[in-house]
Amino acid sequence: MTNITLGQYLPGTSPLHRMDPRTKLCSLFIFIIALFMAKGPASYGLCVLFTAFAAILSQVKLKLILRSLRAIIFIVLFTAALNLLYTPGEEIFKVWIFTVTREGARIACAMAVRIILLVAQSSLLTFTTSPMSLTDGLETLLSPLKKIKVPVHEFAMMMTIALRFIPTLSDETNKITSAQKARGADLESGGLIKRAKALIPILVPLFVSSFRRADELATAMECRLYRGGEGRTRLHELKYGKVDAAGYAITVIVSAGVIVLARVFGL
Amino acid sequence: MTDLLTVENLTHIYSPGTPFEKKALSDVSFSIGESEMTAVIGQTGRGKSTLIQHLNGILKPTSGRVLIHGEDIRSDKRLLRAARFAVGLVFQYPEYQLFEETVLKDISFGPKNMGLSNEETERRALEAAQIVGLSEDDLSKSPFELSGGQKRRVAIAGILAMEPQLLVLDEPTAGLDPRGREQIIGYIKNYREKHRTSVIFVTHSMEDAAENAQRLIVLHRGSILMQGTPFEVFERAEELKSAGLGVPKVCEVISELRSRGINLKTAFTPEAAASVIKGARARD
Amino acid sequence: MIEFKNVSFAYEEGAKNVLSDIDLEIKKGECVAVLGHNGCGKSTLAKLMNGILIPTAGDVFVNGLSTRDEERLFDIRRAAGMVFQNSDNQIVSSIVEEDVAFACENLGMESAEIRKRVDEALSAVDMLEYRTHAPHLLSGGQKQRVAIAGVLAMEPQALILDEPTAMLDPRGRREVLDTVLGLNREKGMTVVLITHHMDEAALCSRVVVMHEGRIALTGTPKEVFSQVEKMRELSLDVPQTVKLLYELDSSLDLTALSVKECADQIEKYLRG
Repeated sequence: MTNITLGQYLPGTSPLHRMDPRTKLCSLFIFIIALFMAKGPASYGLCVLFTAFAAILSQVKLKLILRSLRAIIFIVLFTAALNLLYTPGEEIFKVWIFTVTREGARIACAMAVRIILLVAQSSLLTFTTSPMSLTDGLETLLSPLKKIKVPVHEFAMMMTIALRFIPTLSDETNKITSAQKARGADLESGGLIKRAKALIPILVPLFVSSFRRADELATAMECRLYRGGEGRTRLHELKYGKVDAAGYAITVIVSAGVIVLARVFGL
Repeated sequence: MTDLLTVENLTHIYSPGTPFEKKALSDVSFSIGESEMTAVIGQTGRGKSTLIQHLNGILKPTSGRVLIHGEDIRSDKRLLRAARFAVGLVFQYPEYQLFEETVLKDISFGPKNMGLSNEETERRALEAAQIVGLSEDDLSKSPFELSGGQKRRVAIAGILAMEPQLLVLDEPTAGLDPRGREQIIGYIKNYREKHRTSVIFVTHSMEDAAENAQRLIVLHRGSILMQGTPFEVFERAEELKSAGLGVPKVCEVISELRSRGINLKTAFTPEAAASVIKGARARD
Repeated sequence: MIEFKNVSFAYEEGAKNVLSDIDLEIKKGECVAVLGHNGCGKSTLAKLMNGILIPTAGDVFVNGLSTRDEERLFDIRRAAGMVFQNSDNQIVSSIVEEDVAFACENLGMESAEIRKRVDEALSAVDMLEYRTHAPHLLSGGQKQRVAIAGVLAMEPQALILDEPTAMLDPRGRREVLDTVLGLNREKGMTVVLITHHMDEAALCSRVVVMHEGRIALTGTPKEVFSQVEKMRELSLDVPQTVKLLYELDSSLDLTALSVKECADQIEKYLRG
């Protein structure tokens, strides 16, 4: 019951695991720009190769990556179908009122590849980066925003605490549900309104206990000298290493390659 | 005559087929007769709370059966629903299940779900409230205004009001002070005498079990290590200790005296031990 | 180390006092148990010890600093670390070592120094091997030990524990108790243990019994628990060994807290 894997982090020691979260976040960002500038088979092909390279490097099982893609298969098919059928251009064949054009087929393929690569790359990020270090990475990357009074530290702290309490609260939900079932609460039958009403005996105790937890946590944090983000240091200082230099270099070279292929040579 | 409740070869495995697979119960069998008070004792682990959630059908056995009056509660849907009400389950820290605007409404939640009339619901709720020592004043309060100990009593009353044939309590006194513990146990005993209900309570206090139960079931690593009267169980104090389970301090004193060559009968409460020792002195 | 001078406390102005006229001194290196049933003011007493609550009347001093002095509150909290009942609600991070580092991070220490303190604190509670685990997968006793490590990392001089074992099973209780008593005996840590378990109090060097917001009894465990009638009046229990001797003959020496001491007394009674 308590074995929820958060996000979908899979602990490991691969080069991708060892990479600084900032490197991974920045690289993903750069890659996405390149991906959206890709045009022809050559530039898309390079994107696919880069993703495959990253996947091999991550040592994550192919099965798991495919599983994360399964969730979006409907979106992929739907987008592809829309583009396939509604793009005007040179006709290939016609079924009833639907016309499939050469342009449509090309765009449909491009869209499908884009979405799949996007999701695959993002999954690789969450597979190889613990939620905690992802939060750290985001906080550091966004820290310039502190200058314009964006509460970056507070957001990061909230994320950390939320991640910490998701399993606790999910456990608690299970416990309360069982307790109300034991009092004969019927959660399975009836229409929408009846079912929504049946949730009250679960939600009220959950809220009450969450408030109590929040209150106790705040006191405990104060007792451990928390005074906000100012002057705080970290156990794990984010540090760039060789693997990060390599990561940035490869990402920049591949992305530049994609953009040159697409925009200069139109491939 | 069939027993009120029979558990046959119950096994429960969590998350089977995954890396998190965990056997919480393995081949557990026992039965509970009418108006018996039974204590389930055991060390850490999910065994005890897993077991009790099978008794009213919240969990589904991996294998084995739970019978009420000889009928398998999973043999049809109607029996499963009936089991929810025949076996009243009070969870650990039950005060976290309170949600209604008033204490009275909260106690009435169970009986109302049983489909009882308003009058009957109210009669039962009032009676249950009285048994756990709640005052007239308390009934119209919000449950969230009450003290921790009072909340616990409201939650227990919520189950008593369902008038189950078997009352099951998971560590009803956890986190309470000695006075609170004594009170709760007193209320349960009173209710049991009045309604002749069978009671199972889960505890890890050997002292509580020894003082209050007529029968003990000792769970160890998900299976039953021993069951019987407190006398039968505590006679095997050495076995209990080697399984990492404690015995009441009094039992330890008696076995220490035996090892010094003083012949004494088994006793497991201070009062009983005192009279055993007095008897031994008179005999000499 | 911690001193209460004529302290009273009420949660609201005009409300009934939760604590009245408390005079108490906890010396460096002591291990003090505070006993009493729920609502007797023992948790309030704990919260006054590091300035979470400020007395309505009188003063509380930690290392000679008054908790009224807001400027020094940070130093007071650093000197008197606090552990609460529910470990789930005091662990901040989803990784054990990062949680233990929390206080050091707040102090703005260098990463290497934090690492050192985290490892020391985790070894002190015997949880070093669980350093990279997720707290929600640990047992109750383990979680509470992580919470203790989180406070130890501040290197406090006193450890105040507010019913740290109330939600634990016997094994967890033993783990936490052994840890706390070990810190007291081996490292000279001042310990204040708030509890309602008599057998836990029996292991401390001094027991303070609270009743209705006042100190009702204080002394060594033997002095306190041998007063069976007085304890009953306060509706508190005594250890089973004492109860047995009392049932046998109330004029016996009732200071037997261990099984051996109790057996000695009975042997004397039978052969005497």
